[in-house]
Amino acid sequence: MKGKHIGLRKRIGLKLFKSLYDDVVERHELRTLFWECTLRCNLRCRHCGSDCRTDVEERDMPLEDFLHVLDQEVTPHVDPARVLLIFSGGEVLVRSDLEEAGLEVTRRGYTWGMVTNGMALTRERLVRLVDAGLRTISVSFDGFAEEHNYIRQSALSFERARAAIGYIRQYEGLTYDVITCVTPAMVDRLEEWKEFLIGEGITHWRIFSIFPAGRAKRDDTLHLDAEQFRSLMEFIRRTRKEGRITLNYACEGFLGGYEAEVRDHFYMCNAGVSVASIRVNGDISGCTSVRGNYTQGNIYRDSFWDVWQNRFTPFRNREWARKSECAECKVWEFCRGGGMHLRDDDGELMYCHYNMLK
Amino acid sequence: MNYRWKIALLALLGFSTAACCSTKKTSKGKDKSTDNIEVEGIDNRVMLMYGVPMPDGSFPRPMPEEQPEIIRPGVPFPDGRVAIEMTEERAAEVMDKIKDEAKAEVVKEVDGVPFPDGRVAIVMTEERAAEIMELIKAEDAAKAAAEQE
Repeated sequence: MKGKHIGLRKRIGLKLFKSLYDDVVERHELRTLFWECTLRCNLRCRHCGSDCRTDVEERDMPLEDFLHVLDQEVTPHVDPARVLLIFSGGEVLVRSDLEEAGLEVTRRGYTWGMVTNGMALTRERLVRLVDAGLRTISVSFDGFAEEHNYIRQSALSFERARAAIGYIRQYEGLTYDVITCVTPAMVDRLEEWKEFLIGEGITHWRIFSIFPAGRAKRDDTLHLDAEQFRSLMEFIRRTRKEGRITLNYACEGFLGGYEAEVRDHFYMCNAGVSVASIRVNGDISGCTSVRGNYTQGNIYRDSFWDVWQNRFTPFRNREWARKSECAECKVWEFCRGGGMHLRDDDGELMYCHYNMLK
Repeated sequence: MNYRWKIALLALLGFSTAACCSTKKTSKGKDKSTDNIEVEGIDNRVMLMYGVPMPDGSFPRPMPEEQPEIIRPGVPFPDGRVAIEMTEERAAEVMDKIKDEAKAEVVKEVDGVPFPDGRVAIVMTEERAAEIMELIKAEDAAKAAAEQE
């Protein structure tokens, strides 16, 4: 069983990768832009990082505001073919103008995708979205009905997500994956769950585990202990070796001896490096998982491109994070304090994946 | 050490995919000119926490020093096919179709959507969505009441 130990071959690989990553940071070319188009949601998931609700005070960002930024601040500086736009929420399907939004960005040469809980995805809507340029989609699918419905707090959510994945899977040419948030209740059922997914014809699967932010911070039933986390890593490693389904662990944190064995690449946090987001209130930040106070500007006040080019220092130079438990950590050069989403408002690390690998 | 050397070394160490690179291979076609060296994409997914996979099966990666010129006649599908180019006319056509379908859906009878295994689920209509929201609210209220007790 692997753990914290990093062998010589991997250590050399990590060193080389580190210098490649330094170049990426130096260039900080925008490759992924999230648009948090709404905070409204038709579910109220226990682990929601957005703390979104069915009736939010924050109104949806008008499509024209986003397009204005795109036209004035992004398109003139990038090749749209190289930038992936991701519509996120809340639940994006609650927006009735989603097709129009997709069509508008497609006309501008961008490829777009979205993340959904699948509750409101019908076959007809999927056809319309693909017509409007949708090319990639991810659906949350957290386990069997009992586990999924517990997390999603809805008795209908499992069957709806299952149906949505069925429609997507049958749509030839549409890139997709299903995302499973692994909770303690699922750790012992992962083999069974894997067989279920394979049986459903699913080919691409992504797993993440809960970090203590948003609603999840207050819910102990969602957090894996060290033994469960290690068991999850072993499961992913084993499944990848089997090769029956493509499985990856999300970009959560540095994983010591498991690096490059549970993901296709070495750990890197691209928030603010190649990934930016425009929040529902206009805030400009790294990826939407970053909930701490790391806002770098606001589209209603600042020039997006100026912010992207000249701010984002906390994202691109992580030396500030070298404190507390990270101060003396021997893998700092590879980890750089973990993902930005793992830092709280005070810059403290909320969760260390490396230290879970005891 | 430049970019290519680092990539080559990583590949030698067995980390070609981990290096966020794409590998080059020579085309096995009849024409063996250098023009036929092509970049083979690796089927990697984006591992962003809440992101989506890249349509070309790749993920954010260091870009090569010499970037190829992009020819983009339409929106490429991940399997290499190319969708119809989006012109003003095409956009208007699609928008009309969307509006017509949306109108039609309002009066359409709810007849169920088949699952891949042949079972039938209830179609998600505006009314059904409202019903679900009511159910969720009722569940919440019941839970809150239970907690108070």
